[in-house]
Amino acid sequence: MATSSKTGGKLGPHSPTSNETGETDVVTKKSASLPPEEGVNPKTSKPGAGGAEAVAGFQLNRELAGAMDSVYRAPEKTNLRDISEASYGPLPPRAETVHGPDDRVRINNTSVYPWRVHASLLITAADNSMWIGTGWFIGPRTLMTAGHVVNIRGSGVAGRDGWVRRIQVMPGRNGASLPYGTVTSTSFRSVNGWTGGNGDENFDYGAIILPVNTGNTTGWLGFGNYSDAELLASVGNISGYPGDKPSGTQWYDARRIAAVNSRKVFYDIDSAGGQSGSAVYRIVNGGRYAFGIHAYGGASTNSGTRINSAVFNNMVAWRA
Amino acid sequence: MSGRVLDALNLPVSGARVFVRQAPGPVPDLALLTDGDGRFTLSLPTSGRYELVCKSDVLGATSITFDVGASDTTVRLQFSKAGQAS
Repeated sequence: MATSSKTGGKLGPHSPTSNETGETDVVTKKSASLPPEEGVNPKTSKPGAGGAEAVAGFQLNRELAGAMDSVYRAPEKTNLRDISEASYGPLPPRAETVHGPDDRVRINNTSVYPWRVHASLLITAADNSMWIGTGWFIGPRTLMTAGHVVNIRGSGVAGRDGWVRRIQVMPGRNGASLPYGTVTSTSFRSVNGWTGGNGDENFDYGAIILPVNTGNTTGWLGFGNYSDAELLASVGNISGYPGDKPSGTQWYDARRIAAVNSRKVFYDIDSAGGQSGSAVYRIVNGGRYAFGIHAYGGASTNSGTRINSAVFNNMVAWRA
Repeated sequence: MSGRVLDALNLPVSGARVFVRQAPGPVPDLALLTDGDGRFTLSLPTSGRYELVCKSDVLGATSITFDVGASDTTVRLQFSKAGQAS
């Protein structure tokens, strides 16, 4: 499919791109955060103490969270492909997306807010290979996800790179149960920094635009551009659809943020293949506000794209 | 790298979830579904040792650890049970 951008002049890494020719998104200047919306009859699950959700069986690991503060400090770096090695010295023999004990707990009440804003994704790539990922609502028709969910780069597989063909979006999925049905999207957004070459991790974010307003029912997460100090003092929450658990089940974990730089956030929140695109969010005065988009399993921490001012502005522009 | 997923009777398993559990560096946190012939192709970003896991609701899990170098790698993952992925 075609890639278009409306900037007209030279493309920057955050210049928006789309699989729809003639798309005219504009980067706009907005406030630092947009509030969440709980949707219709939300029966909202109230947050717990300490910045994490109140989920049966889940306990925030405060010891590990505190200890990591002094261990990890990521530097500024343009190309973060080897960021773990650059930041933390030589890599350990293996990288794991679940570090130590697996702290994830299953979410069973996926039809209540906030769990229902998270969607299981079934992705059909350009070469018809099938993948699973995660997305989350930021508006009535828009879900955020990783750039590599909507546009595959540098695969080395003939016919695979480029915009995916379609994504089936299943909000609040709980195994075989689809409380909000399934919606197929063929309308995607990302940025030139991701789609313009082999894919730069620093710009690995994108959006899925639905043809219907499902988000009015499910609600959506707020999102914001926060300072380093605010993020380093935050508990990061992630809920998504990992491939190592029963099909289509939603799993949650939370832990303090380990490190940040201007374009990435690093954390030891457990995840597995299939959780790419999940929101990394914090709880502020009872509201859920995303500050990152989960994308990578790492050597000693996992990581996501930080919602900095440029990402925030694109999210505002993509929000429909 | 490419691979094929088989059940205990050496029959191809379609729709099984394949993902990287351990790697020498950061990897996208996606999972791939095997095709109708149990086959899959993945791009692994750097040379080194990887652990690949295949998961099925019906057949359980199987995994393989292997080294990726300059040449193409082909692996075979086999479940200890017979049947289809889901």
